[in-house]
Amino acid sequence: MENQECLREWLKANRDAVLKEWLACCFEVYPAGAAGFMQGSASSFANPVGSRTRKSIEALYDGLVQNIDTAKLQASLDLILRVRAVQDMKPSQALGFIPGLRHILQSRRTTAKNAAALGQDWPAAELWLDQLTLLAFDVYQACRENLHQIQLAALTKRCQTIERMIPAASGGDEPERDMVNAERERCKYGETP
Amino acid sequence: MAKLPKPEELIQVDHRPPKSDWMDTPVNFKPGTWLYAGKAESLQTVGLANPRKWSPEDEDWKLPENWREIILEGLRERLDKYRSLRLFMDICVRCGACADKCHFYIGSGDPKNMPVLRAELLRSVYRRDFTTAGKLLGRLAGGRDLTVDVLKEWFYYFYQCTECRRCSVFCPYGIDTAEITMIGRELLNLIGLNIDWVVTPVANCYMKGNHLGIQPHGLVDSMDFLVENIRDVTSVTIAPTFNRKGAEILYVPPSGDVFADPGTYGLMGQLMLFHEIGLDYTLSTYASEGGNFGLFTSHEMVKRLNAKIYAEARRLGVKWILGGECGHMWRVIHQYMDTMNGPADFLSTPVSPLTGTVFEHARSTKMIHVVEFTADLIKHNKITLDPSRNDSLKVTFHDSCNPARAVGLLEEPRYILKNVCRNFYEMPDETIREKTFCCGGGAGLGADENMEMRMRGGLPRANAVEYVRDRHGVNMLACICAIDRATLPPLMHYWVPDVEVCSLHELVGNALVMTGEAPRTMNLRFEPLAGAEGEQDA
Repeated sequence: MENQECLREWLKANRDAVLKEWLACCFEVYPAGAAGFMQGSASSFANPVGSRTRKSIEALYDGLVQNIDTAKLQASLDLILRVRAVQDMKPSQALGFIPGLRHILQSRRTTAKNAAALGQDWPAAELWLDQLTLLAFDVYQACRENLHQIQLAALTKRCQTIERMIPAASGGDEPERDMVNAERERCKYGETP
Repeated sequence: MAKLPKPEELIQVDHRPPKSDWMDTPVNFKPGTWLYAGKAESLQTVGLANPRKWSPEDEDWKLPENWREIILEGLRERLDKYRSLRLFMDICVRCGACADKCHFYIGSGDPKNMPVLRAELLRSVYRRDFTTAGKLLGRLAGGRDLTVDVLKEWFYYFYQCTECRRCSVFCPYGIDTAEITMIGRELLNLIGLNIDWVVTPVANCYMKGNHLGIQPHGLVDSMDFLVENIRDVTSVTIAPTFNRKGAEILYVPPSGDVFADPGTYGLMGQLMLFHEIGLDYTLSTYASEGGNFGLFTSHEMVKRLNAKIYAEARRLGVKWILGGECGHMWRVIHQYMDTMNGPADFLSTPVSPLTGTVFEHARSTKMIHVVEFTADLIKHNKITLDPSRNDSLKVTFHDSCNPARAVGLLEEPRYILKNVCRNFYEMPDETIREKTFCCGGGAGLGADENMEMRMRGGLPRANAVEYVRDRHGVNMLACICAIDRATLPPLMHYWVPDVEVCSLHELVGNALVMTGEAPRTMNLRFEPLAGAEGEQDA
């Protein structure tokens, strides 16, 4: 978002209030009791989902205000989406926090004192949110692919163990041992054999 | 002109979960979160009930007609037999101290992963059928009927608890939720509801002595393979023996370490150590498994599988038993073995032949963990170590649940680590020692089909590893459990991709200076040792 000073100043001024509302929106995908726990103040080690979500949306919000580069946005999205990619939710639920922010900003800006000026700047923010949604698709999908690669590697490793058991049972000579050692090198997690 | 619809009327996408009461929220068997059913032939091998082909996804689970009576009668028997179970059913005040301590709840937010609510799955049926209030008032008194849906919920959630016992550390009443899960699984087993990742290893162990079902000649050949690798790295030839009568010690490692990396490197380290100190030990092809998946099946199965170790110790005439780097094996040894299969009065209290240390705490079981044994050797300067060989590693230590919480092996592994490497960094206090977080794959949950669930459950552990990686550059996660060594590598790859996993004795093997060894240029993974090339050039 560039040269939209009016909106930028308004976003800065309303940072805490918007983030509070956005955070609550992020946790709506969880059952009520869990949402309370995740939103609570437990340490990042006792409550990693909550702390990752908070860190992520803070960085994304600041990205909206400050024009940070795509790589940093991706890293911030990864923080929240890597968790959601393995949780019991649909992709639409996992990414729902982005339209959630749009909704929060929209309802706040229309009731702001300088609503008319903000309205002029608003298309730039909408464009940014659209781009963020597209980026989030990529990040979410990358996490799911990562998960599937890990499953594939686990299966390969199981086959590798069986392969090692077969030469062992048939009297494992030197070439077979070398083959197994070479296989170890080849099959590492995340590297599709 | 038709009225324009509002945006929210165009498409109905609601991202909020249903607000129904937990008793009314059915289980959703989403792929990636549940485990495959036990194979019929494995059930038949060990005489478990209702062997058949079925899947948790099926509508019809092919239960025996009188399944309800079997379960309720099974619960009645166990309430009479185990006073602890009746106490655990009655004394919980739902204070919530355990609620946010389970790694599955922390990672998923699913309320039924809260230990208190997981226990309520069983407790609600107990109330309905075994308490006066429940019989009279039913749901008002927190009771509910045992239905097929309840049974499916039991299956889903009792096979979603790794029996790690972190919750029990925080329970002011000392309720051990793992014991409740164990009873839950035991009841499910009465009607043939079990998972293949548990039942097939159990059947293999029962018939062939180890989880993988390796026959004696395969086991010996596999060990030869490791011996050859040790020779390639050190130029030292070692010769472990099998089934040797009259040996002083029976050594029982987890079988996963014989075949699966990175456990193999740790086993190599242990074999090198025993060779170097001239230990009089033997392996067994009959009791070739330290692990005991009976623990995830039933008390009866724990006893049957564990008995093999004692029987073999008696047959071989050894003095005591040394166990390898295994996790739940130690819960069995420490908390059940002596009661189930003891007293082992034909064995002696373990004494280190090198240091003379008497392991008094094992006076009853006659069995000690290799970590205790090695720590004692180091303490008495019985081995020479060159920790610089591990200088390329920045290591942190994952307290495996059972050795930490069931046995109290907290200081020994750290003492060894500080002697075999020079870069050791602890994870935050609330994530280690008694409060350690589970790997997410214990108690038979280490299968591949439930990877999504494992990643959720492992998040708290991975999160703490990420912290020490970012703060100290940690690149190696050491542990003393074979299940950890199988489940932590994929977990690290998903959450903290540049951290690898190793056995504690892999680092011992690297650092161990052996008599007659060639200058080391490679570590046990055949990777160049840091600085080795430079030294050679010089």
